[in-house]
Amino acid sequence: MSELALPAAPRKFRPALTIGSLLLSIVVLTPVLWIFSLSLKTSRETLRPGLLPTDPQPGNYVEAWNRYGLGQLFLNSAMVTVGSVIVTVMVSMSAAYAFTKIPFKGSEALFSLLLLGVVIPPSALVVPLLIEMRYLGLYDNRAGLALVYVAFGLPISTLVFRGFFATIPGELVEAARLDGCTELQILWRIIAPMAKGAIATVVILMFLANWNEFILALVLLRNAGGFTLTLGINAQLGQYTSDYHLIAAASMIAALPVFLVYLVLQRQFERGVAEGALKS
Amino acid sequence: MTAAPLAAAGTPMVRRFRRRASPGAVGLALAAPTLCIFAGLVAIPVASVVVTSFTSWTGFDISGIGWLGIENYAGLLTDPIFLKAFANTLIFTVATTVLLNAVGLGLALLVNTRAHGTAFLKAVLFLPVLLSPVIVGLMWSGLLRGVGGGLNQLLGFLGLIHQPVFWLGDGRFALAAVIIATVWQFAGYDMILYYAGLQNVPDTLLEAAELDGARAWEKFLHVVLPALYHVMSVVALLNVIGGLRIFDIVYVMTRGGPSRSTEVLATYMYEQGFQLNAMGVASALAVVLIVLAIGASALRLRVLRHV
Repeated sequence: MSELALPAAPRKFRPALTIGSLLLSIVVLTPVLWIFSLSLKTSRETLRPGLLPTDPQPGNYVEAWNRYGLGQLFLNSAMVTVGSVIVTVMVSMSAAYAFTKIPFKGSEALFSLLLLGVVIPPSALVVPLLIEMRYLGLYDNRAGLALVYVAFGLPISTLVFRGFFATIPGELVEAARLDGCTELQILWRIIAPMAKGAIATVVILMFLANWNEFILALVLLRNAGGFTLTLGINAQLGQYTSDYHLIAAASMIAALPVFLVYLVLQRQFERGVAEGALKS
Repeated sequence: MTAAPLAAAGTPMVRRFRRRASPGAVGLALAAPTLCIFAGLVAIPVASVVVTSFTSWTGFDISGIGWLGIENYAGLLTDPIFLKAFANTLIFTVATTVLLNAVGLGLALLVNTRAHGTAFLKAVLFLPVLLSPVIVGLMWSGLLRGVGGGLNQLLGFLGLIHQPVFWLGDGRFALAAVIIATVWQFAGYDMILYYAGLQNVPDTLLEAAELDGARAWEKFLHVVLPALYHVMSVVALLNVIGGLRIFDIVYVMTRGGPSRSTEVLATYMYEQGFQLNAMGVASALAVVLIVLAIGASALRLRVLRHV
């Protein structure tokens, strides 16, 4: 709507803006392209000058996949991410519904307390979390890690859902109650289908955060068999510097699924990320 | 996974509440899973990290724990590595926040012209946001490697250097390198937020300014910028919180080295807690991190009240 928001660029500047944008795009893409080029080089070539691989080695990808057990790492990341995202959505949606439509004694105070969680750095809690997870028998356990991700995702998710539920008229909920619906039926059958946008926002935020998370996984997982992708790739760093081409290939493989999802859902991603941040 | 059976089991329970209990109890029951998980895995750890920060503890046996009072904190104040990590964290936080906001706003203004090519730039800028900092750290390590690194090749080609520079192995450059990698990763994030903010600048105000004959920069300074204050405060706070807790990218690129030149609070805490088993000191460092993060958001609320 507001192309005016920028001091409207005169027509004669437009070509310059286009050229500037394309140059900037190349600059931004450079690290990604560099790693991509590296991932196709031979081990020796990674140490020699040269922009492009002289003899591209697509086989590096297969070798990286097998050598680093990327299949298992993928599976672990997927389980932890999908599990934590589903639980976060369900649990935070119920809470947000309670906070907006069935306020109870102390609900305002509890919500404020929950909101403090948005600024608590997960990295600051690794020591007590490690002890607690050991005590609960959830140390070195993918479900345990997923549960911790849920805990850190709840404040922002509840906040996003609460913002959306506040726009749903109270009469709608009242009418459903008079029809004899239980609160859970109202939430799952009436409100949830209306909240697709908010659900998409929370899913995207949590998917990105949990798929890419590092320090909690580093502290709470020990056995390489349960490692997530980021952890597995980190474990290869500094092992053999001559394998840089394989680590590069593994990085490209790890980045690919997120890039693909983004290509398909670009608009939702951008909106989800913006809403997740600006609603606070 | 854990809460799914809880939610299913909730149905009969909630029905019973409908007959006997007040609506308030139903509300509490629906909020309970969130509150319990949050209390158990965030609130209790915060409380216990505060407690353990006053103790000596090696992390193994609870009975071996000893009350130290403020000794851990006092020790930090005279610990040159802590002071270095604290200073580095502040430098990192301020530098990334300032750069990200300037670059993010600039890019948002560029993308908002909607000239050809800006849509592509917008998509490209967002790609690094999607990546794990571990992978970002890896990419930049590859680019900045002394031998075979992309930057050295470029500078050598241009004739600017004749010896390879070990960017990440040199205390003069390492922190700057980590800052640049972080700005590269999150510039698109700030851009998206500012871009969203720009869509809400009231057209009527801009038109009025235009009728008054305002110049482009006057419109920007007096109409666009004030309309962005809220967005700016959110973006700055997110950048500050992100900066204070920085760990991943430092850990992957430099592990805090060379000779502590990129040591930050979170990496030092990790070293104290998990390599030296000094859980008391690590907890004190964690408390410093938490206090800084809460302080930053309190500061933002105060500043917002005055604009």
